[in-house]
Amino acid sequence: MLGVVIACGIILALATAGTIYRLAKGPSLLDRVIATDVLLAIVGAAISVDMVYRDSYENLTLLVVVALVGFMGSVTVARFANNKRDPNEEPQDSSRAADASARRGDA
Amino acid sequence: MELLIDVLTGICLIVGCLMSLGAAFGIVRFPDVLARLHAGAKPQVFGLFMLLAGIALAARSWTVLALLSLIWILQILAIPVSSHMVGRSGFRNKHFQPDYLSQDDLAELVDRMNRESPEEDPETEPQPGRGAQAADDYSARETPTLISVPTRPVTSDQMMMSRICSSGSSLTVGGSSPVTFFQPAVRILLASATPASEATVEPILIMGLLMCVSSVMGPGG
Repeated sequence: MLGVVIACGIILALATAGTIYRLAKGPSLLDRVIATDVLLAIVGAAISVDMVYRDSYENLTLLVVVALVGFMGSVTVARFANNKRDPNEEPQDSSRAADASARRGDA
Repeated sequence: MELLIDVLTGICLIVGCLMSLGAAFGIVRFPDVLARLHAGAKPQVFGLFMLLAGIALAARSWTVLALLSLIWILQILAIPVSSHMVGRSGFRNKHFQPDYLSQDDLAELVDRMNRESPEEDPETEPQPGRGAQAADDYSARETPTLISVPTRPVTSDQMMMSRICSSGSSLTVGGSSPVTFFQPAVRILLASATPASEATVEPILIMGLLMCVSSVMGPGG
């Protein structure tokens, strides 16, 4: 079980690094909202692994609260915040977009 | 048998964490908001189920299983709502590259909505567009739909059902009342089969199987 926990820890640390990268870089508010949701899921995963390792299930109520309240943030931001796209922002992967349109034979 | 259950627990935990890693990889590499939304919802559904299955196998008690079922059901109700809201906001505000879309059914409607929303003209007659976009008088003023409603809804129940039964991608013009906030949630919960909810049938069967297994293992384990 210790080996499993260490492997899960490494996997979740890598996932957190990638998510924080998107949280910092994401050119729009919605990218950051999605990254926050994924961070919440990673925190839930870490709590679950910790509960199995220590064999004490007292943090289950924390998992319930996280599931309930966590999605409200993203719903509120998506509904009420000003998400108009900034016309100056550059597309993420313009080279791939050019490939896609060339493959379809766009004029 | 103890060893088998410990191995199964370990596998469930590692698979659950790998889903989170896949989601992180997806939101780093995918090109725009709508694709990242798709990647970001993966650990919240299947990853969470795997982790909860691992906890259920390790705990082997009925109260823990009941609480885990509650967590699972609440998360299943919450994730399609948040994904739908973020996707709706992203699509309507053009947070995507049109080169990646092979067919955009809603482009005309979104343009019309974005042109009309600064003026907020409630006296405008609903324009009869293509056949599929012909809308009711009542529903066109507030909720332009893509599926024509044949009879005008009279009672509040009929109005609610006509809103719910309309397409999941209908857009609301200038909605600032609390009702329009809950519209997507109600519509999703009652009408559409989102990809996330299609995946719940098999996990529920697997969870039932796990319940049977743990009940067999409980007294002897």
